[in-house]
Amino acid sequence: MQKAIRVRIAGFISALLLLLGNSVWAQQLADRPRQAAMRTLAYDATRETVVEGTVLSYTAESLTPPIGAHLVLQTAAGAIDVHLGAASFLQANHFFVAKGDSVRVVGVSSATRQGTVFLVRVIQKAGQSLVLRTAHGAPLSLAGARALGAQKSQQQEGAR
Amino acid sequence: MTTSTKRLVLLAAVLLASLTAACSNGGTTVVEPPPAPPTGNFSNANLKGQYAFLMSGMELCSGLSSFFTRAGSFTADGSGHITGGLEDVNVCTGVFTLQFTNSTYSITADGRGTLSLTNTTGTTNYSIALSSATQGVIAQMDVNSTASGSFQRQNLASFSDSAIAGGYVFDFAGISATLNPESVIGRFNADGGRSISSGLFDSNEAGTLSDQQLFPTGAFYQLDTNGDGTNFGRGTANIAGHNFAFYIVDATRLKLLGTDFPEGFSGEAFAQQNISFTAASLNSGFAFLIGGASSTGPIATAGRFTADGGGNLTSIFLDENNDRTVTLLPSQGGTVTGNYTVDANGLGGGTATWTDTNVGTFFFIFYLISPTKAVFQETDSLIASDGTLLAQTAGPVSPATLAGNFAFFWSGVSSDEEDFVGQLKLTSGSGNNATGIMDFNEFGAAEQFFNIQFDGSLTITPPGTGPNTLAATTTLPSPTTFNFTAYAVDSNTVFLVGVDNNRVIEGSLVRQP
Repeated sequence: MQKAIRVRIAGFISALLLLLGNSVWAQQLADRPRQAAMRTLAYDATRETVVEGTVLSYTAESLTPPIGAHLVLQTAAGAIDVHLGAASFLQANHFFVAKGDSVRVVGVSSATRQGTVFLVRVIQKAGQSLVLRTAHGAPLSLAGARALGAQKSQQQEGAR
Repeated sequence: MTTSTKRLVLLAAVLLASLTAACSNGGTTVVEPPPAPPTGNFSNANLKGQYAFLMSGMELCSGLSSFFTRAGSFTADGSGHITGGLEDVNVCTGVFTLQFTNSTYSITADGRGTLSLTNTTGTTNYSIALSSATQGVIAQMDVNSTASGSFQRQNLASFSDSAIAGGYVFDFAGISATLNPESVIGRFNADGGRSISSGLFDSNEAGTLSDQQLFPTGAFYQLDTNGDGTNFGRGTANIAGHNFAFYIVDATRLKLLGTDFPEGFSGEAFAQQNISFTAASLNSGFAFLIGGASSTGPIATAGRFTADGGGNLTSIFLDENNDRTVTLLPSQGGTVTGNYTVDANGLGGGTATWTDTNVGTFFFIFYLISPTKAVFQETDSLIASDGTLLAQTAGPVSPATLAGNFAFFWSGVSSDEEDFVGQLKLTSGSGNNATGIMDFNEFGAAEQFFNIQFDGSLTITPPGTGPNTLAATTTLPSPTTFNFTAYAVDSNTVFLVGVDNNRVIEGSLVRQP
């Protein structure tokens, strides 16, 4: 019994020392400055909007930034430049866009030196929906096949 | 993969011009005959011993280009044979450890060469450039995979748990478990007996910052006990809550490959000088090179500043290529002022901040390896970007001080990832002073190019420690000029960031003997 109490006390003291140790460490954690205002060309998820329209044109590899596929979408408010990211990501997910298609996009309007571009997180067309960005706004094409999910078989091509 | 029609047409013209060409696996290989036998003192004999390597890039997987990373060790016999080796890969299908058999390499007189590594899944092919017999740069040259990185000769005497002792600063980056780009930098103490303590880190996941954190419980390191530890310097570790395989270069340097999945990380750890760091530790000019991802795509940044030892930054220059939008500091008509802090705990963490009167404020954090070297991370506006900060020579830097031969690699994105490795020769002239030859992998176009010559100019703006320019023009695969801003660290190392609006690219030059 006394041994059990001693063990418990020792355990308590150890835990206390650990907590104190962590506390000392925690006090040493440095402050970091908060971020500055967003750069103009950035995906600010707090400003997400939904836009619907008709595709006027689709370009798999646009010459204007950002890198990747763009489409020009005719909306009620006028034509806008829409960025979809890597065309290969659309293709691998069997999502194709063509002139005349009606699409709905969820994303953020962002300013570039060339004008304004709508950065898309989700695109929907004829009951088909494809997520193009993470909730943080990072293009899923960066992760590539890692973004396909466990339910889809992944086929590595070539030697490792 | 996306391929520009223009590039295909030009490539077809190239092929019709009777250049040596071969096709494999649906891709295209273009080999330009070298202009003349390469000159220099390198040979197969210079690659001899065990080397640890680390690289990351893109692979083709389920029809998608996907991030992957590889780290390992190979043994070169000095006669063109790889007699053994081991690697860990974190690819789209998982994490694997693979052994090399029956592999080969070849080094030409200019230090360039090829390396083929065979494992049970097949053979992977690389172009390399030696900066010395102990280190070089490497780019994978396969149709289905491209990657770039570096390798260093291993010190076999360091293949023990006890050799890993003292403070280490680390920097790893890649794809997080939630598929965001993420950079993690920090430091820890290793006790020489598999335990890690005093671990601190700062994580930046797609621009979401962790602030400085303690390591979660479970941190450790351990060399493999199955023979891979003593044979290849391989071990496993848990650092900042992530699991890694590591390969020892020597007691001062470890190469890290994340073994958690679907996340995929790679990076390095460097022995930290055992001093209590303060603001006074930073008291010189510094050049930096970082790369990563913004919320629109790839980003590459290089620059320099002077730290005065008292928390003030002056002479701040920066070139940022954010998904083909280039920002230069100081901006036209603008001025830049900045400051820095070093954490009060003396463990080498710190912050650097500067503001351009027109462009705005840029935030960075760092962990000092020594007063002359640090890992560096941008913490701005949904940007996850990281790299190296190195003390600069006091100068002046001139064409005369930079004249000589350099091994180089460039890595970036045009329509998809592209990786270049080669040799650059600089003369002391003020113009048309650069010639070079390189191999590169245009992954998006499934094209690999070998022995491609270029020429151009490195233009130095006195005193040379600020932004300089390097323009390199090649005629293959199409007439292309690569425009870089070049920041000289010293006469042996130059950081490069591309400032063209059709690609995001960065790299470095390292002097050959």
